[in-house]
Amino acid sequence: MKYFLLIAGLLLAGLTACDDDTKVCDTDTRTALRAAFVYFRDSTDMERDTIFPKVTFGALNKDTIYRRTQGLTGLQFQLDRVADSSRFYLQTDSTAAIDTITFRYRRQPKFVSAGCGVVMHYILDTVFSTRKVIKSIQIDQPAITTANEKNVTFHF
Amino acid sequence: MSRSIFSALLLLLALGSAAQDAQKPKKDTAKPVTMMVPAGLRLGLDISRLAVHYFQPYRTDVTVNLDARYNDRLYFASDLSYNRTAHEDENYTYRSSGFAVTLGANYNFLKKQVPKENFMIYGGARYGLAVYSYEVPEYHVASEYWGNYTGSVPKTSQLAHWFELTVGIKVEVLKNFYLGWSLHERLLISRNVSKQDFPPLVIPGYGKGYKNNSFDMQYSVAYLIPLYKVKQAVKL
Repeated sequence: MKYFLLIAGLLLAGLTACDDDTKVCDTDTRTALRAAFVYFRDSTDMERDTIFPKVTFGALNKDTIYRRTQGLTGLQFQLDRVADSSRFYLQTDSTAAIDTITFRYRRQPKFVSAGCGVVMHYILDTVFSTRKVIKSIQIDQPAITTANEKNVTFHF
Repeated sequence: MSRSIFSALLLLLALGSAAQDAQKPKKDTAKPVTMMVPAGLRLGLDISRLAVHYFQPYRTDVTVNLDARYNDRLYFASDLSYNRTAHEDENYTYRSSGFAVTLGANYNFLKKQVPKENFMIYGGARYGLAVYSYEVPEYHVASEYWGNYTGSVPKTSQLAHWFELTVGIKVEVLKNFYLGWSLHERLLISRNVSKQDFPPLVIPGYGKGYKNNSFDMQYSVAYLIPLYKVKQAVKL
């Protein structure tokens, strides 16, 4: 019996040794800012989620992230990993005026696992925009992490 | 998976004890005899670290096991460990090295039936302390839209300590020459180590430095250096 236990242990020692964490990335590594669109009715003080027909959105002087995309109720996009602020433009319809939005934040590189490496977490400090179509922007969750929660609400 | 292996082995141990019970002679009135039996320092090498290095080439570990019998059932036990880690992929480069020591005791659950048989099934507890340094010369956070961010973590020296529970067996296969395995569940006391923005990949003697608990298994060959004798109760 004792020799059986010795051999069983040897096999199990081999099994535990072959667990190489650096080869597997099974964690979500996306750290995107999530924004929701809300239509604000002044008269009734009610807010409702809203959908825009053709949204164009992107960072200033960069490619568009959304180009005349239909039926959007919000946005999901990455902030600049190299700078502590990012500026974007938003057009809710092809004929609507263009708003410019600025996000200021702190960056925090964070190790997630041996297989996935490092992701960038952000803490939003301030968000402001021009007021052509957007009425206000509210920060709901300043921490932008792999939890992918709703971070800001755009009021129209 | 670790939990299921742990459960399976606990079951094995239970079966082992049951088998021993089944072999017990019928109750008699004979009283246990106390004998002086050889004891000393048992010096072992964990050969499962070779398998770890084979499957995880970025890790080089050496663990030396020491135990010394104190009385009939109790053994003082210690592990001395060294670890060197060097990993490089497209995400990051990592280097570390350090030493660890654990101190504690093992309790042998088996009652002796044959005076010269040195088969033990034991449970034990340890306190572990590691001293190590690590650095991340380069890491990258990829972004197709914004471009990659590149950073580094300078060389840092740290201490980590943990509490450890263990169960295992040791079998004397030749005179004074032992083979055995043991399971180790470690709970990190210095939680601040694993919660850092860039924790160590490996803490020497503990395991994955970014986790608050660590499961491990050792398979050791050991040699007993007889140095003294202890009293042992034997039921003949």
